Amino acid sequence: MKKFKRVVMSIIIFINLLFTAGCWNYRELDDLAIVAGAAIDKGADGQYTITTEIVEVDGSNDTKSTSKLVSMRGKTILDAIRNGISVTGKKLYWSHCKVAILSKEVAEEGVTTVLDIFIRDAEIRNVVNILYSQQDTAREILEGQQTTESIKSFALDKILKNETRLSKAPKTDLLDFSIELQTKGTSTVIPAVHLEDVKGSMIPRVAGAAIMKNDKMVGELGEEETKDLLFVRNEVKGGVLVRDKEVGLSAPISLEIFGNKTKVKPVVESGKLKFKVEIDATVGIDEIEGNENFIDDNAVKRLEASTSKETQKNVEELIKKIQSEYGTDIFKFGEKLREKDINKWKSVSDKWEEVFRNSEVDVDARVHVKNSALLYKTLKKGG
Amino acid sequence: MQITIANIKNLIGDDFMYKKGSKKYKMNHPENSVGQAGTSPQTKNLTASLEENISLFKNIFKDDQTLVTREFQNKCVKEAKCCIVYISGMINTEVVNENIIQPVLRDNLSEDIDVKNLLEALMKKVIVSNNVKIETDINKMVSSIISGDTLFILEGYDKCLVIGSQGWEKRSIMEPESSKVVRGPREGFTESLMVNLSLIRRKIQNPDLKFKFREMGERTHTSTCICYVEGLAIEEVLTELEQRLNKIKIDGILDSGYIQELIKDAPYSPFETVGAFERPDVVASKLLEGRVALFVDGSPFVLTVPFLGVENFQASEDYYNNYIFANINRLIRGFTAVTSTTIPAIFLALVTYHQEMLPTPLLISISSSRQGVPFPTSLSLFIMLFIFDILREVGTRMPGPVGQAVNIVGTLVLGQAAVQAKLVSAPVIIVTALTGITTLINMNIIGSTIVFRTFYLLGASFLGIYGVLMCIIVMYLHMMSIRSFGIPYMMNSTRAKNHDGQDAWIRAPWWDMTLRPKIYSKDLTRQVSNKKNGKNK
Repeated sequence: MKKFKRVVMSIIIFINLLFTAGCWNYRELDDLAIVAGAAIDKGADGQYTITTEIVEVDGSNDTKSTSKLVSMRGKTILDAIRNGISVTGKKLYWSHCKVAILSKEVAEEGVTTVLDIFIRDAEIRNVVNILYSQQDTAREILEGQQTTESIKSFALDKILKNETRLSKAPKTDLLDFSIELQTKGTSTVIPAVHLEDVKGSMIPRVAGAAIMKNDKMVGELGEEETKDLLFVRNEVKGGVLVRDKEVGLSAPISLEIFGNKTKVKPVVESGKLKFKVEIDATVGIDEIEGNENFIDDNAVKRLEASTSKETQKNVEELIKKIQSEYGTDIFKFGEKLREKDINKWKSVSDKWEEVFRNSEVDVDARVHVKNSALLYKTLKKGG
Repeated sequence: MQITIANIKNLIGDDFMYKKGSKKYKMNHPENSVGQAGTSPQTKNLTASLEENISLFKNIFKDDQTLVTREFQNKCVKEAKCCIVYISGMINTEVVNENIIQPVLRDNLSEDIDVKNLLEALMKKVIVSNNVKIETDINKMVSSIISGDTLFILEGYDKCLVIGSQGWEKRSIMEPESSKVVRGPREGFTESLMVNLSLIRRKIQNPDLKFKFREMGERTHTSTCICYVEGLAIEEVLTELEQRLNKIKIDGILDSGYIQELIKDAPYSPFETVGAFERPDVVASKLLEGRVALFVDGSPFVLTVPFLGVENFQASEDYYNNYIFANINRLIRGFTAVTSTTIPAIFLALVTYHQEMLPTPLLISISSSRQGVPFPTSLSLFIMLFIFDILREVGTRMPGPVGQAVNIVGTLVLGQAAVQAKLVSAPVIIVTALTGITTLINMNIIGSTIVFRTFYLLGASFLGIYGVLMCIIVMYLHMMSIRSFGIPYMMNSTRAKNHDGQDAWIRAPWWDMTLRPKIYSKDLTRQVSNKKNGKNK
């Protein structure tokens, strides 16, 4: 009898397992409309317009896939997405969505209202990159010409993945965004994208960033400013520093960033908060357009000093600008303070914006020239 | 190193062997009762009259024209009027002619022959044979004739001589087709029991190697032989095997497969719990590990018990090759055993339930190959795997010359054309091919592979990865629950303790395998540690 009971119990448990678990929906691949990316606009009537780039797979042996744009309108994002069925006939499949492009209106109005469904929904993954469109509408970006990839959203995803070698735009995906949004004192930046006219064809280009205050866009950063921002955030992994006449050269030279380590140290001096930013970058001379000799130790030292000074100046200017104009902590100073001194942080966290605006920042940049690649002198005619 | 059997019993406690009165270890194979089988026993006995005796045998073998009787008489001793009875085709004619008929017929027997006790005198002084005995029981005479012996009947005696004269056509010793090796002995068992026993005897030249004959099959009288090494084999296994064999009452045994299935512990399981091997070196190594072997006349496959799960992945070559290479091969076998069952199920689960788990480019390329294919992925997988099994079966059964046709049909028509005609998508073909190839690596578990592959695929088509995992759990529960002669089927693969795991998923180097597997051998010492032999030189 006991054995019988045990058998019955295990059967009941087993059957319950079957019905309580997920994964019930059997769907064939060809019934799915794979969404590669989405652009979100908001019209004057308060309705959202979502433009999705859908991967078009044709059955021919030609593996090259194309995409088409489908626009849908609705009162909310989900409403708009579901309205899409009446256009495509297939259910949109969002798991492989790579980018979400937000228009200026949407970004200024508040991003969370739009991105809530992206973060909440189980089908959409957290790796969706958020982009800010500097064009009039977000849709225009997806309408741009294709370059290497036939699907523009995937191209944008690739650009952002390799952006670390360029350091001209941050990379913010849904996970970063939701973390930074919920962290007190930290503000996030969203990479900006615009269409660039290259010989008549409009090509999407990712450069610069949008400054967010809470979840609202308050300003924009240029390419070089973004690089300086990334220096402070310790997110520079590569990129090029171009030095020109401003450091006393006759012709521009390019320094490639091999690596960078930035330390932000919060210091409390006589009750006043001070942040020490120590930038330590290693670069290599990769291109010399003039014919200055850098094999000379003195010349290298001069170059290092001038480059350090230039970087330091730029970063200082950026921090001052952000402090005075926006008062939004995109440098993650608050986070550093919390890590270092939790008590101090607790005492200032409620009025962090004000504290941030008034805190003193001391920037110390050091650039080391490691080598000059394969050549040790400049190319000279007949030399 | 003195580990006694009692210690081992304590070591694994209740799991060990057979406890009296426990239901767990009850023989649960169906009782076999064979109506009124067997040769009908003869009631008449031999008489003193030669003629009557001959007609008695002719009567017993009525309508059997292979029975030969040959009467002859010595030229000097008139009392030596005799007759030989044999079955043509079963005897060695040379032996009968030169060693029986010729001496009795030609020689001058009068000189030193004791006429009063002629039969014994003939046996002792005239007949040239290594195997002669006097027989009085008519039933034994009949079975001797059947097995190829020659009966020598003498006028005036109610008993006869049984002279060993067996000799029939045998297959010579060849390399077994089922398990070929690059390195290692090339000989394989044949259909002849005695030849097989000699192959083992030649490998283990030790009087401890015991052979116990028994006759099985009520009508076929197939001789079988239990073989073990005394001092290594555990008595419990031996007695259990004998008990199970005693219970078999079947009319005929034509191959060891009959017995394999009849003495199996888990009769409904797709897994074999009795091993069958075609190579003498393998069986010899099993005997040296303390297993018990069962030879069946007429079958080149020798059974060994107990048989554990890991033995499916042990090839004889593993022990002859460099251990690193052997381990690679063994891992491949284990890996393919897993993949051959799970690949189609996981593929199906990924493309129909969990598309988010596929990398985007892969998703797009699979999706593009599915465009315009009418059948659901699950159905096309079932169909293609079924077709592959058809092709495999054709490949095994077909006569050699038609092989080309099967290849062309299989590869071209079913593979290429089906994709081009958009009946199935290309990834399905690839998955089928991969599954097929990996299935063929482990030919000895192909049955269970096909069963569980289908089972997993069903799970995947209803519940995705979740279903596959549930099916895998069910399979493992089953594998963990079955036993072979009281020893858990997965014993060595789950215990890495001491020396048990040395020859399971990996093959340890020979200098490290100093002990035998603890669980089925009595004397554990395999070799005195000689690890340093090579190192100190």
